[in-house]
Amino acid sequence: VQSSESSSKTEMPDYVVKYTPLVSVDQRQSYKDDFNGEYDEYRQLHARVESITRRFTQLDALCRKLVPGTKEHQKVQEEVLKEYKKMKQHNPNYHEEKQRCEYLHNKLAHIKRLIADFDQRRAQSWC
Amino acid sequence: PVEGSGDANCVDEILKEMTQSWPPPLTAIHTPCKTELSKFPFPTKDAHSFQS
Repeated sequence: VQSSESSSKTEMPDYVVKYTPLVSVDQRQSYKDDFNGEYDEYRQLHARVESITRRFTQLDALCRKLVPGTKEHQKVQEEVLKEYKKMKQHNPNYHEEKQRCEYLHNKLAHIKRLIADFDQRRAQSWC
Repeated sequence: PVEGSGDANCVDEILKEMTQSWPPPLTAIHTPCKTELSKFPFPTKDAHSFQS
């Protein structure tokens, strides 16, 4: 692992360093292009994680409704294991993908916020 | 008492891990430069259309 940066930097993600508050319309366009460039990947990852999370949340809710030790409960537990195995098979990189998605979420939210701030500032100054 | 199924702990772990709350997706940036849009506030539908 190369990214062993000094611990003081851990609170500052790379996109915060790269994307500073906007000062021009050109810059706005370039930020927006960057956003759009990664948005599709983000949405795909997000949808995948969302559907998997939803599936397990359903099983979890079911599990809580049933009395531990009963046949039904055990059945659901087996279902959880089966789902988990299936998930591992279909998405062996699930955890990396989830992490990547969380990173993209924060990064894109950051860019979006900067653009919104810029738009707001501009709207105010033109009033 | 965890009897019968040795997988119980394992299942708990899986559920804990896999049901972490997941935020709704970010929406796209669809605001075009507002200034360009509102250059000409031309009414598309005139209330006083002269139709005889």
